Amino acid sequence: MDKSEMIERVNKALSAEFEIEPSKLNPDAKFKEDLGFDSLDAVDLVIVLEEEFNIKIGKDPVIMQIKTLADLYAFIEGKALTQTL
Amino acid sequence: MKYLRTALYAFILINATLALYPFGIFIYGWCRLIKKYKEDEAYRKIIGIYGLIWVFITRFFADFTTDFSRTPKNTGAAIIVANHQSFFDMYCFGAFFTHNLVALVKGWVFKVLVYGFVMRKAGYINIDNPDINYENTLRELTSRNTSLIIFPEGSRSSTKKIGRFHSGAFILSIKTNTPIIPVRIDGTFDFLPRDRKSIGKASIKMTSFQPVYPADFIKYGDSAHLKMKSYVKNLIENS
Repeated sequence: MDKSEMIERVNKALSAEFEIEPSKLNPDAKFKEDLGFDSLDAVDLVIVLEEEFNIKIGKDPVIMQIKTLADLYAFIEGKALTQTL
Repeated sequence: MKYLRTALYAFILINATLALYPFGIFIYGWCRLIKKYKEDEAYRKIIGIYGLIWVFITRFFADFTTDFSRTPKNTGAAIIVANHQSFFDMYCFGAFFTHNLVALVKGWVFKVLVYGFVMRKAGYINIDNPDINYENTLRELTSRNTSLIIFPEGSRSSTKKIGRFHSGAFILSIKTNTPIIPVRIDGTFDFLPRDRKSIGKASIKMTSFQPVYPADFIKYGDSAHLKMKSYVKNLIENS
């Protein structure tokens, strides 16, 4: 899976589960300020991504440092290197 | 004309509220001494009767209909999940088939004179209080046959469209094995949306649906609450 496909899948999953307009899903978008995420949404985000990519994120400390969509793309890309997507 | 109508509505509502003070004391005494209700139950009764009075008055200014036929009355305590369009959505529950209800409410509402006092006494939950243990609170409420109202959009919709549902209600439902009763409220946006000061012509309808049980979603594991949320939202949105 290349990066653009991964980004598309992340955005599609976010749009579907969190009802975010696709136009708001740009790499600089901040989860809290721009996308209106709260702490429960962060937990849901992990579950949604685990299901979408069939990966294990669990309580990975890196997920707590994610602030923007670009951070998330990089995180998923990193997971792809260690786990089979 | 619309301001005259609003002024008349406000006048009647304020006077009815004032009249409820002595009547409220009577209801409180009756609940405590005759019915042997606990203090919070007595206050919930007062809120319920106030809601009924609101419904009665509002029927002179807007169509107000209900359909609770799809919810078995013996469902017992539940989490009531409703869409949120107006300040008056909470008042609509005066028409609901039970008044043994508590709601999750934003902190500012507790600062409103009299309302805040009564809601606190009735056991309403301040969502801005970080010390609340929601699971324990809900278990205690349901053990006393009290249902919890949650507006999962978090705040009033700024359009007629039902907004994004947050997960809290559904996580609670799964963790405490409490059924959800979905409720759809239509028309209160036309009556009084969040950014308007005057009431409009409206056809208010409150509909409750068949209970949704967490046991039907447990099979989805960690995403059980997400599947439940999606199901309930779809039920409310597309009914």
